[in-house]
Amino acid sequence: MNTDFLQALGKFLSNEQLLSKPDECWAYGYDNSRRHGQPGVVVFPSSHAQVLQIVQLCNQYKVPIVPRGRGTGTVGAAVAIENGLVLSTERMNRIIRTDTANRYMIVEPGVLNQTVQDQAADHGFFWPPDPSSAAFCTIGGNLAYNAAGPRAVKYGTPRENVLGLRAITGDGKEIKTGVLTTKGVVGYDLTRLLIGSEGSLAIITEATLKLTPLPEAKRTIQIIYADIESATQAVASIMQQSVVPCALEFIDGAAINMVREYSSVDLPEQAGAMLMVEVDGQEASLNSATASIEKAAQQSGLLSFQVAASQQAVNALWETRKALSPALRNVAPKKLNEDVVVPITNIPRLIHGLEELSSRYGIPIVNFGHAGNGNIHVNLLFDPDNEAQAANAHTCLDEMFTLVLALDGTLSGEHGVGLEKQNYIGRELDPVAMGLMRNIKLVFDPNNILNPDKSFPG
Amino acid sequence: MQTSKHNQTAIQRSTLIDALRTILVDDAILFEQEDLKPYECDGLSAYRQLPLVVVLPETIPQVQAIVKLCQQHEIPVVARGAGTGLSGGALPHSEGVLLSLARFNQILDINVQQRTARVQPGVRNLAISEAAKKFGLYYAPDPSSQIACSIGGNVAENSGGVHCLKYGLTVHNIQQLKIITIDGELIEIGAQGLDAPGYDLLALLTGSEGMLGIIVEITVTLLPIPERVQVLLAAFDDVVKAGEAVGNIISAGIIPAGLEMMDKLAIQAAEAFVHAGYPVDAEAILLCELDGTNEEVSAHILTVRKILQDSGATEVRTARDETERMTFWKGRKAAFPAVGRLSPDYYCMDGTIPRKHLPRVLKTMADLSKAYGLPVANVFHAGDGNLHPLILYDANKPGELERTEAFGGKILELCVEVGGTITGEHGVGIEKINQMCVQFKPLELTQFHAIKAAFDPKGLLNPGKAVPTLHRCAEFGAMHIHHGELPFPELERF
Repeated sequence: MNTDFLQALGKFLSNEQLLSKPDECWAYGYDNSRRHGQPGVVVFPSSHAQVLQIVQLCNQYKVPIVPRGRGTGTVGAAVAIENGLVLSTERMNRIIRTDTANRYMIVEPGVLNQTVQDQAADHGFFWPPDPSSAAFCTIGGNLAYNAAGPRAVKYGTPRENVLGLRAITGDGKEIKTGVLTTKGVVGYDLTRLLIGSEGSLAIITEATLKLTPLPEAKRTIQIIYADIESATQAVASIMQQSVVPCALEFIDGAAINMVREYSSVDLPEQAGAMLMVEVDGQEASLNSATASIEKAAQQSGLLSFQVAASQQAVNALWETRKALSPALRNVAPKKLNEDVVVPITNIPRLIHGLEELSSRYGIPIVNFGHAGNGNIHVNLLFDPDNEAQAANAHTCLDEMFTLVLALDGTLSGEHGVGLEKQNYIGRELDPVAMGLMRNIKLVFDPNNILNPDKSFPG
Repeated sequence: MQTSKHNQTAIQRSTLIDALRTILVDDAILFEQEDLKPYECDGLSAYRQLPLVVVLPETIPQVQAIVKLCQQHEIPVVARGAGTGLSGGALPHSEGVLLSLARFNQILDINVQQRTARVQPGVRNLAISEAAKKFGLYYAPDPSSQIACSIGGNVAENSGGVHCLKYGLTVHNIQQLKIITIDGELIEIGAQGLDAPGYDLLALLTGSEGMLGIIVEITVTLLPIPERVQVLLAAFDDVVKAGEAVGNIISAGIIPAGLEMMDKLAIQAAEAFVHAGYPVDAEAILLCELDGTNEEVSAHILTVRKILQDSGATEVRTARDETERMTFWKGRKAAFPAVGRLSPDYYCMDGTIPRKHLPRVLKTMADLSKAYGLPVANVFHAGDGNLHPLILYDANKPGELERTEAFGGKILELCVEVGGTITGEHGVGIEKINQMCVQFKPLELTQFHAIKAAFDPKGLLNPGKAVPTLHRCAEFGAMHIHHGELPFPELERF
């Protein structure tokens, strides 16, 4: 690492805000993609002003920056660049203001998603995006990836739940985007542009989150079908009636078998697919909402429709879904987990296509996900020690992406592109659109300092 | 000099028309003065300009060829939908081609299972909901001009409407766009899912006022028609109390489908005009629409009624039936033409503020009204904090116009001061281009220009709109209605 650069950083950062020993930096080099890069230096700014100084200095010395929340991302956008700088937001963790009359909360990027939920709940509100890692992941990371979670089917992704941002662009300029109001049509929509840009355009230093009132009550329903077709037909019918569920989760037959083998959950023998549905709203409205869902759920292969009567029953119903991840981890610790999206009517074709790939390549594939959005988490359970499987896994993955695109789908619903899908997005985006995106990157980051060489094919 | 420039333009124009004839049939090219006249302005009629030529393409390849031609000769291109915009976004360029998308008027596909409709940009907003109705679906954003405005224009301006409080703006209700870039390339952006890889070009294009690309196809999201819709009308003896009631409803965790407010002057004008049965002695009324399942609406009505009463409402009425509900709304939707009957001219603004500041802003506006000696009528989307103050004046009285503009400027400055924005739904266009300087710092404007250049390096798409050049930042402008000559007076507004 250039010593002049380190000295310049040391002028405005305290010793506790700067790590430069390789062993100390090591832990900040990886994320949940399990890839690793050795950072040259890790900094922990505590204010917008310090982020500004860091970015300006990095421009001066041409040092690449990788912004980092808590490293829970799965595609490598927070993986360090060799000899680059990692900018951790973990000390920018203040909730600046909660305003219930205007329904917003202003936070720094290092605040945990769960902290926002807890704080908002004290006032009777919540912030809809809730990735499974909510207890550990930061708001800054959620915004960088546009990370959603099960509630998106009713309440939308971070793009729909952020009013404005404060940020430092790649060339070290301060910008403020958006408004404090629910409406505003002035200028280009830079708020949504920065959300989901995976730290490649600007570093977010402050976010104004739009809060939603907590529903008075919620009801949980488990629906079991004999086959995929009935289940997906039900998904389409549920999405067409007027009660929008706040969760609509799908689990395929392979996943059900997995749960049967690795947990004590009892499920009917013929179960070929399962839906978990939640509706929320006023207590008084939930009986009719449930009836409406039940009507939509009437498909030929319907085996059971169960509404949880108590909190224990809710927990019991979710047990199947929750037993899934540990079961998968037991079977295949190095599984490949993709999060593709297809239009909901194409879900059966996707699942059948995956069954075919699974038998052809000898790799077990299990699927579950947020069916209301057509967002399916596809898990390739391969054993890296099994040479045949390891050799096949990436070819299989490749064919899976081809299948998804042929079904009018998209390669990533919520996990992002990062390093993992970098070489695939050229198949989905047309070259003109990608050219425009590269132009936009240059506008914000002319020296290509922010998270360079990620997200776009080289 | 003047003459030679004119000649030069004339030559260019005839060459241009000849070139266009190789692309389009003759009746799709307009260049005679009287044919160009209908296109000289949009809903902001204070600004008028004839274009060099108007083209009415019918196919995507035609649009591509026109754009390529314009790019080759560096001729500005201004896209136009139905021309109902209120900020001059579709105002023609004197040296440019006005590209009307009126003939792109087909609903291409309604996919009931996906709950989407694929439509051409010239399709009217309301026509989408009409076509979807037989499937129990509708398209949520409803600008008051929805009977006439086109969906392409809605995307260009990111239009809202009465129901966007609950259902969001245009950007929240579309999934994919096909656009033609200034190079004449056809690209598809967005995805039929949660999110597409790469930057969110869909959001960038939405609300970009025709400055980044020409929209030729839109996939919109359809929603199930709610089981029941009900509206409450509450009267107040004090505007500030009505403003507080708005915050109280939202803080209680209820998001009404619509939450509208009218002050005394607006109530009286509307009542005299359409006889909606409004309480004419009230200082303010709120209209609160609730939708959802039957039980949900019943429960919300009880809660909202109590909040309104606790907030000091002198009277709360629930519409007895669908006819009365429509009557309540009729007064609101006709409020602008109604106010137009009170005064020779009025001046309308679109500032938006965080809801909490409503009482303070309304109070300050009343004080300013006294100070400037000009009456103000307020009719607006209270739930969104989206104000539409109407300053009544007479342009024939010397100095009154100037006083009005100064007053309007103060109101918008006040909006920005409390954390708001100069336009909630009408867009910047040509109208509010100067006020952009109040809301944004030079650095932020530079960023906007750089994005524009990333799409359109020669600045040919709708030049001179929406984002001011830095040296332009100086004065205020707004929508003027002279002698009741509201453009498209038959339309319901705002």
